[in-house]
Amino acid sequence: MSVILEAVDLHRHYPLPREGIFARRRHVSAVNGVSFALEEGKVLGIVGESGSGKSTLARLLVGLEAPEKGEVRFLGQRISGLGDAALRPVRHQIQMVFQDPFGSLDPRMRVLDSIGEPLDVAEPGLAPEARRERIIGMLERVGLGEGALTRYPHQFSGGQRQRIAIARALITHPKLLIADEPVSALDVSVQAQILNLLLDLKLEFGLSLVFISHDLGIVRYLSDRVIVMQNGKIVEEGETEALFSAPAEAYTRQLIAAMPKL
Amino acid sequence: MLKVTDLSITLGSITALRGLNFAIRPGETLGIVGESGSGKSITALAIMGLLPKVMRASGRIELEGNDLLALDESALCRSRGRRMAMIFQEPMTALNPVMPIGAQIAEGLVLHGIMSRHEAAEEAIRLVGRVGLPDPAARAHSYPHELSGGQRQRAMIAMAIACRPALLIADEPTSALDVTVQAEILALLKEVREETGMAMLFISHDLAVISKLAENTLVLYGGAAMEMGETHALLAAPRHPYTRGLIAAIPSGNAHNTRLNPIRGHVPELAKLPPGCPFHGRCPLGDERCRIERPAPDIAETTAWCHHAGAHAPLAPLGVTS
Repeated sequence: MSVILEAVDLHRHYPLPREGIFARRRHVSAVNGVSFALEEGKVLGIVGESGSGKSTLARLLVGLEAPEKGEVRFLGQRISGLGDAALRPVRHQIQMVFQDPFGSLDPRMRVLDSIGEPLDVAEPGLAPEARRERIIGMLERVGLGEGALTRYPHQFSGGQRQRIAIARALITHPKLLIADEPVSALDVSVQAQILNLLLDLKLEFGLSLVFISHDLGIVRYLSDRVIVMQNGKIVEEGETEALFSAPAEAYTRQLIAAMPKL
Repeated sequence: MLKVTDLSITLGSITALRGLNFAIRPGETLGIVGESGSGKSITALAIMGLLPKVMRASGRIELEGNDLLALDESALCRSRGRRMAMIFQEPMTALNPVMPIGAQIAEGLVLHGIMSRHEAAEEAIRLVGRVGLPDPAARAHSYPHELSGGQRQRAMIAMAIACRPALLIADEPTSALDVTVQAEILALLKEVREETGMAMLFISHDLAVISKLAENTLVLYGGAAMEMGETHALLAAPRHPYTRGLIAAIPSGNAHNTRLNPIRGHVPELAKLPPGCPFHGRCPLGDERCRIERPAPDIAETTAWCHHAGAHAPLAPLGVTS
């Protein structure tokens, strides 16, 4: 198996507000020396509590932010710190889904166009009928009907909007999906549909996935490998079952113990 | 302590809650589990008398023998905060951002005439310590924004239990918190419940969280009761297809590339529910009778509002995938 995504010693810090006009500016390290490699067709789960740096890491991986140090490699090629033009060929192969679907959908765009937009960029020659069919097919896979096509984001519930955002991310069959808490806002019954969808795409199309969540149950279910983060650093990394059945670090044990079980 | 009889809530022609019945004894917790639109939060608001004006509630809500639905606003104000209190998912929206938390905790005690201003301020410090905030005398002067999410929820709990209410309603109190903090808050709620002997109504979308705290569980869907019973029994041998679907949809262990069993379809709009069982459209056992006729409670190990919950009905496998 070849490595699709590689993080090499990533660092990202943010300045804190000045405490006085002559005070030295202090920084908080959001991501502090994170390295990992994701094999093609596999799922990497990243767990951590709020403030652990997992969302900053997601933004670094898709290039929404540039690391101060270190680099992100996609299929062996460096993608961090590249300009827009240089990134364009790989952009549609890497997609992202955020926790808050409101921020990722244009409120003035009908669902048909929101989902169609990335398709138009990736496959400009697609006939209108075929385009429409692809979009309907995708909507059905995320559990929404054809009736959604001509409606606007505000006409949907939070869970439905998240499914639209997921449909938009997956319509071009990206090689890699970075998902930051994609199902946290969804009802349990809908959450299971989305997890199945992600699993199907992994098995059918070899989709590789970085799955970020605070929910250990879901991460354990979906991931091949798991990274546990705390204060911007990787505390523990391992094969999912090994990590959950025999965690080496105290922090991992603490997280697993706190997880409510049925 | 709390007895709810035939509680229905309507919004114009839409029925948001259909004829709910339950009771909670002192020191006991009832968990209400449901997805969005199930009516769980509206039930809480109805008990607190905080329903939006456009909604109409009918039935009876008795707290310590008084029918809350029959009380006028000023009488309701006297029991709200004093006899019943509520904590919410996001404490930041419930706390006053420009008032120190100690003063907010003391406010209710003074308002309900339980203590003098001075006594209340001291009691507030004791409560801040009781809910596990470090250095209570200093913490009481903190403003909500100076606290972390978990600490704010602790402050909310201190405020809610200040007047020693008979009933505490907790609506998704830990859903916004990290797992380790969630575990601490659940433990704290358990402790204060045991200390004060108050009854608790614990609302969550998460069955696992509910099972930590609630002796009894009520499963709501589309504004109607699906199943109710002792939490252990309900989880071990769910009799309603919806409860079984909910449990089957929770990931457990590692997939090793096997799929979950989601409930097919999606949560319907309340206006489009059939006259019979609300779960009809998504239920693997649903038939014409389910669509038309509201199921009567079928009482066995648990109570299930289902035409097919009878012991002789075959339990169809729930492996229906979408």
